[in-house]
Amino acid sequence: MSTTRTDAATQAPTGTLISAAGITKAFGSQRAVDHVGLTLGRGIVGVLGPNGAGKTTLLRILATVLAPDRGTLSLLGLDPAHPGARTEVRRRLGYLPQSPRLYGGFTPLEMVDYVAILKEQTDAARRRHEAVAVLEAVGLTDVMHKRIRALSGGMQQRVALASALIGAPELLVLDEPATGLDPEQRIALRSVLAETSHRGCVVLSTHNTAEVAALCQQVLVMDRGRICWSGTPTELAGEAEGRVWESDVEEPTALRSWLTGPGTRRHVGTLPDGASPAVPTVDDGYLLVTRLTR
Amino acid sequence: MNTALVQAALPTARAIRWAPAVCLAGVLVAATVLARSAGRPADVVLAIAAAGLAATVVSGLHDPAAGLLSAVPVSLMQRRGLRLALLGLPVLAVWFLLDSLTTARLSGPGPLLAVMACGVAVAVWAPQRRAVVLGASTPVVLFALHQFLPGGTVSDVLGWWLTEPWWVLAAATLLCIAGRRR
Repeated sequence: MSTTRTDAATQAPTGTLISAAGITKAFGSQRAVDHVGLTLGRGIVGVLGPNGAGKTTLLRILATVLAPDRGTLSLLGLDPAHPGARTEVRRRLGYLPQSPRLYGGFTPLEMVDYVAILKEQTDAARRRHEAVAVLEAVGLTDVMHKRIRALSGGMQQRVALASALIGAPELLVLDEPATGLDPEQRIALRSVLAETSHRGCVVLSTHNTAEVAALCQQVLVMDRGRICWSGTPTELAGEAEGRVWESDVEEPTALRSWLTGPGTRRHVGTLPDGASPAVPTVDDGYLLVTRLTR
Repeated sequence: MNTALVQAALPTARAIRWAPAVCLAGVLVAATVLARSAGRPADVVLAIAAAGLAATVVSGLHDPAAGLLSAVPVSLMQRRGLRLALLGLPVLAVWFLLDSLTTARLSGPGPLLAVMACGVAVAVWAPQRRAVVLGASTPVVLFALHQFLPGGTVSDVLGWWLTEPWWVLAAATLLCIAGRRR
């Protein structure tokens, strides 16, 4: 089995929006991102990986928040290393950081309007109209005049998401956007992102493989700063084809085993004699890939 | 001036926490009035005022939503500049009020501007995560060290913001300009 598929990653559906080669970023002696190369076009790309894999650092680089130590990066055809080009990229970019904080004394409408001002949208009437539209898209119309500090965590997350969406960005970088959202809100988020992906590239990091399966056209699996696998969600599930099975007992030969809801154990690894393979999921593929690349 | 920055002025002013500056200003005015009525020299009160007000202004650089705003076209330095202007102007007004209430040798806005610029310079050059804390501490540390260190060269240098404020202001401003891309 090949654990690195670059063919899918290098196919940009309609023009290249992100192109990176040899991107490296270290904090002290720790390499958070290590020689990452990718080429992405229009669509939704999910970045999966264990904690500390370098997902957030990669996303911060793609959002122009961090500059890489080494490597070349092109965003929307521009080189963000140059201040002028970086500003132009930021005009066309939306960014949602992990656990964003907001101004508690603002209303959602004021918060989104403020971000729009800082995105250099100076036509007040148009800005306000768009702020209302993005708040409607994330389902916050009813509370857009309430103070943010009075809103629930999920609502605050959606205010931050609306702030990232303002200005119809061609490149949307979202670090764990579904954190704090209930299932209904997650489904609404999928619709919003699917719509955004028609006009550009959405890169999101998540721990939720179900989200990736439902939403993303492409998956990047990161581990220890590197992209160790890339392809479609179906291909990721396919990596576990014939290598996942269930039983009532522990399997010492399995690469990974875990207890499922009904009480049986699910395993990934080399199928033992006599065991019948189970239908693989993206979870299985992800666990197998991250284990095999270690 | 950048149109976006002009439009951002009002919401930025709303985003700033004004309570610390207002409380400090009230305490300083009361202390200055007391010193004046008691016929006490107000030099130390004004030095405390300069350090305290400068620390308050630099602490106003703290932006809770900085993460969310980290990829907007209006840069961090521009946003910090806006916050400094919004906080600095009323603080300067407080300083002139205090100055008018005393007959201290320490006169004019020089010391306040100098120690404020030192704090901003530290905030510009310090690691981003601790920038505001270190910058806001700088005026207080400079005041305390100058007050409590025994007289000598080190104490003199640490007191330049009081004795040679315009030179200190110029040097700190140059440091801020040099670090504007950070």
